[in-house]
Amino acid sequence: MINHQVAMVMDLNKCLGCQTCTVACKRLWTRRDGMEDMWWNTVNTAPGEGTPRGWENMGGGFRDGDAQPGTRPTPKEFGEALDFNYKEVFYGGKKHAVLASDKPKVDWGPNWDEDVGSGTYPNSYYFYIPRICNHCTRPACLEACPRNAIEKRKEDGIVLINEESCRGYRFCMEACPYKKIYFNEVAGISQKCIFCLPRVEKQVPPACARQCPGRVRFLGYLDDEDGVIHKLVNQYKVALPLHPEYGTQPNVFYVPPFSPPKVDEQGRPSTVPRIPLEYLESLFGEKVKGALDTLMIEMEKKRAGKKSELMDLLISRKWQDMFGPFNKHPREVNGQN
Amino acid sequence: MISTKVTKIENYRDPKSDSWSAIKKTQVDLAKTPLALQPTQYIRASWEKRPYGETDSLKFATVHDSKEIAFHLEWYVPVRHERDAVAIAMPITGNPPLITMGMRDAPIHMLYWVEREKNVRSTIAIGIGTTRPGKNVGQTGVANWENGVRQIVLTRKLGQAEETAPLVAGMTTMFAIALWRGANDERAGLKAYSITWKELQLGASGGQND
Repeated sequence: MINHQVAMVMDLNKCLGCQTCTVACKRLWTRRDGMEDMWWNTVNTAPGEGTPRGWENMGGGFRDGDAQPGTRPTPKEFGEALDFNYKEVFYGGKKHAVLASDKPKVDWGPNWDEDVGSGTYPNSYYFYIPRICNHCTRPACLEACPRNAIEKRKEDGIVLINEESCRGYRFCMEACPYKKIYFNEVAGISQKCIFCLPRVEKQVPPACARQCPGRVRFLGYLDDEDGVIHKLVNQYKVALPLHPEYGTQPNVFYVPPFSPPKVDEQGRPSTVPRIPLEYLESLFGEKVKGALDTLMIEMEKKRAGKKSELMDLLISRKWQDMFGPFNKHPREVNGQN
Repeated sequence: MISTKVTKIENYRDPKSDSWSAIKKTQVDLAKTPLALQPTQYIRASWEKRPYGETDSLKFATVHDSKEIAFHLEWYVPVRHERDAVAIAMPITGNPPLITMGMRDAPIHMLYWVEREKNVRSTIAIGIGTTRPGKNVGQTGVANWENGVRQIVLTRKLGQAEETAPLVAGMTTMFAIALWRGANDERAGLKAYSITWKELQLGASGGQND
């Protein structure tokens, strides 16, 4: 049993797909040897194949409480790291040098199908889904490991891989239905998002959340009834887990995206949203409609000049209001205030 | 099984060395580890319908020169893989349960070789999923794969010390073998093993003219 559970809510209506979160994570955590192709934080276009490619069809998780077999994504499916001839192009003094990768043929990468989306003009659509490890309440990775090398911390519910105990068997990679565990070929161990534990322990928000220019990400303890996470997830019920049917009870939640209405050939709007409800339900479950209805009602309130706590929360005028107890700046805890 | 005393272990480090041709090879039968004993539900569910541990035997020979011991292992593995692996297990004391890889207060000591790693590991286990690094016993390994036949020589220093399977000329102990086929994604408890401990006697006097 855990005492508290940290959680994150991502408002997909605000995500710009700018990858600042991805880069913030990359620069902080995955720059060591063997981590070149690791992206603990990814942002992919939906509908799309995601990262790793086709991850939603790779199994794992639980059905009726029982562990389900899964496949292990290949490095190619994750999208291998490429080296580019930057030196030659920018500093080599060759006027006509062309930027090129070290691999002659590249046909997949971690964000390969960016902005492709679905639908037909003028009703084509897409949105972005940022993903990290879900630090699940029932982590399939933890249950799959034969060495008990994965721990769910009692203090905050963060799921960690003990690199001393890990022997690189990679059952965790197969069992995680979100395919958010990577294998470090150099170190011979599995690695994944640590929810910026060293920051969180000092009340500093994870880098992906703090650096987000769109103020997409909210933080807090799920059981803090006065906190923003509890309000969005449990009180207003507008934040939903991704693929709840995987059975792991993720602790990253999403405010589903609104979309403009479909238009006819003359450009006249209909009453049907451009992103099909069925598609959103395939991602976030059957509670999507209720969440979107609540958001619409609260939005109308705000437009009518009435008060809406929910809209104020989602607008997020101050970043400190978004992160619950994790509202410190790194320089505060480093004694540089 | 007898570990023949020889003059120089150096002549036996290469699994293809002619010196081994004079040493008796014994067949060790192997069987897959029971699915029910795989330690997690995920592994049991994933491998319920998948074959593993299908290498049914290997050839085993051993020599020592009073300072070091060498084990020669040979088996058939049609597809070479960087995760092909083999381990020789021995009790540190007594008769620990092999099927559970030892237990608390009854550890086993292993020499573990896997193709993708340069060095042979010395490891200790006190149960399934408990393997941890053991003491350096001067372990080495030289491997060869040719036409589906994998040969390997594992060596370690003789002697006895804390957390080390004792091996001294003249003594009798036990050994067991585990074998993983990398191409079949075998790792952890998904392996072929020798089912029971086999007796291993270290010859006290030289009978081998090498």
